[in-house]
Amino acid sequence: MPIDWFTVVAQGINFLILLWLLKRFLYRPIIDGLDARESKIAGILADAESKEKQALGLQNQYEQKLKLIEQQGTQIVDSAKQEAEISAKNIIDEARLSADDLLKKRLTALQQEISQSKQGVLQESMREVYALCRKVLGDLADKELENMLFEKLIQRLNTLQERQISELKNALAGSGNRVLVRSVFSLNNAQLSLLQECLQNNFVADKTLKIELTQSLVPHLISGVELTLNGWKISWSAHDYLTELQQQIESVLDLSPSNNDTDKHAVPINQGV
Amino acid sequence: MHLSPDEIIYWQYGFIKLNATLVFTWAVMLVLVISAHLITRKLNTKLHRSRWQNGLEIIVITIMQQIAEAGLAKPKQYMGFLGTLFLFIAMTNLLTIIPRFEPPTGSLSTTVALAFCVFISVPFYGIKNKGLKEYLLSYTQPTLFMLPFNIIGELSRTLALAVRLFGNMMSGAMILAILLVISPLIFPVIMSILGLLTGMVQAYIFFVLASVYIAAASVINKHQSLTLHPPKPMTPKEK
Repeated sequence: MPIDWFTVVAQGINFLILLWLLKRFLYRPIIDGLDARESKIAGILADAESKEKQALGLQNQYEQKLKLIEQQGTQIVDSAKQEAEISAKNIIDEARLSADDLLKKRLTALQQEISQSKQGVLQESMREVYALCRKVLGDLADKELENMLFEKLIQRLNTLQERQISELKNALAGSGNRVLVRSVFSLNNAQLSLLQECLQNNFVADKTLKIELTQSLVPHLISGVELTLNGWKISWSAHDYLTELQQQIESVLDLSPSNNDTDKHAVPINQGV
Repeated sequence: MHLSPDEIIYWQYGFIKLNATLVFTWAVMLVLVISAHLITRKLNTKLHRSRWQNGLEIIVITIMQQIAEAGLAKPKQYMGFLGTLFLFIAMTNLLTIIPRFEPPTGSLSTTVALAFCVFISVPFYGIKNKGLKEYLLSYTQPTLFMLPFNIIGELSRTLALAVRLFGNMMSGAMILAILLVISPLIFPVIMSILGLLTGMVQAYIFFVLASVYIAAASVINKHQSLTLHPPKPMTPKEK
């Protein structure tokens, strides 16, 4: 096999040229690029490592902060629990006191209500008794009883005390010797004459003056006779007894007289004898 | 039939001739340089890169790894020479699949030139790394008596490099040509594929042998110089 030495030399030169060209266009750029990338990756890794260290440091810091916060949170919760327990105790105590007060008020109100009910029952009972007495007396009242009561009135007029006599005299003088006679049944003339004579003898100083009697029929008196003169009243009637009984019961029960409007007529006009 | 592309002469002036070996060598050089330039002109040093750049980087890194495995400590230093050897031979053998392409490595002139380059590079790198005296002394190792044998060995392995590559490539081309005459279908395709494999293996062998020769010239002397030092006393841990 012949060797062409020109070709050998030429190929050797070609190889050297190729070597230079490939170094220029292939190896150097590629190796430089690889080195640059390696350094970049190394930089990135170093950066990542430093960041990892920073992150670990931050993580430790945050963990410590977290622990601190947890401790503070636990303390806050504990103190809040204690405060809540104290508050709850206070609230319960206050509620208990309020409940006690309310209970006392309710008891007081209940007692008042009970006493009012009792009073109402008593008042009603009294009214019933009063109405019953009034009815019984009304049923029993007749002319005969009326005559007896009239006689009792005359008897009473004759047995008055000096002070009462003088007061009645003045009242009679003030009324112009006019006397209103109120009764359930009408008085007969004999009775009227007897009454006039009794008044004339006992209470009129000037015998020349005549007493004028005006008769008025009042059914609610039940029975009895009542004399009215210048704001004064002289009576002997069942109505007066019953009114007096009612006033005594009401005073015992501490009832307001204004509430008793069942028998306004039983109240004396100004002063009673 | 031509045994060598040297016999195909396009132009001649005296002893200066333009044969197929040179023309196809230039073609291979152009393909290599232009493709390398096209890929590396838009080189991206960032993490994202093109597929072509990736492929080229894989080739370069693999070559450097192979150089390192051959025993050379600084692969970048030898990358230019050894890498160009591998890429030139590999590309030449790869392009044989193109019809009417005459591989320059099928010419003994080319393989001799490449082997001569290796023959020159071995002492070049040996002297560069170890110095002239150390390198020359390596021929007298283990004894001065071995000097002629070492020189013969140096020459013979260079010759073996040239003839091995030429023989493989020439035989491949010859077998392909003969098979085309005998059986124009299928068999040439199979043989062509086999030729590609053989070509790549030959490129690898040439490259690895050159690496080993250079490494031997640079590293063996180093080991010998190390043996001159007295052995270190063994520590209890080493025991």
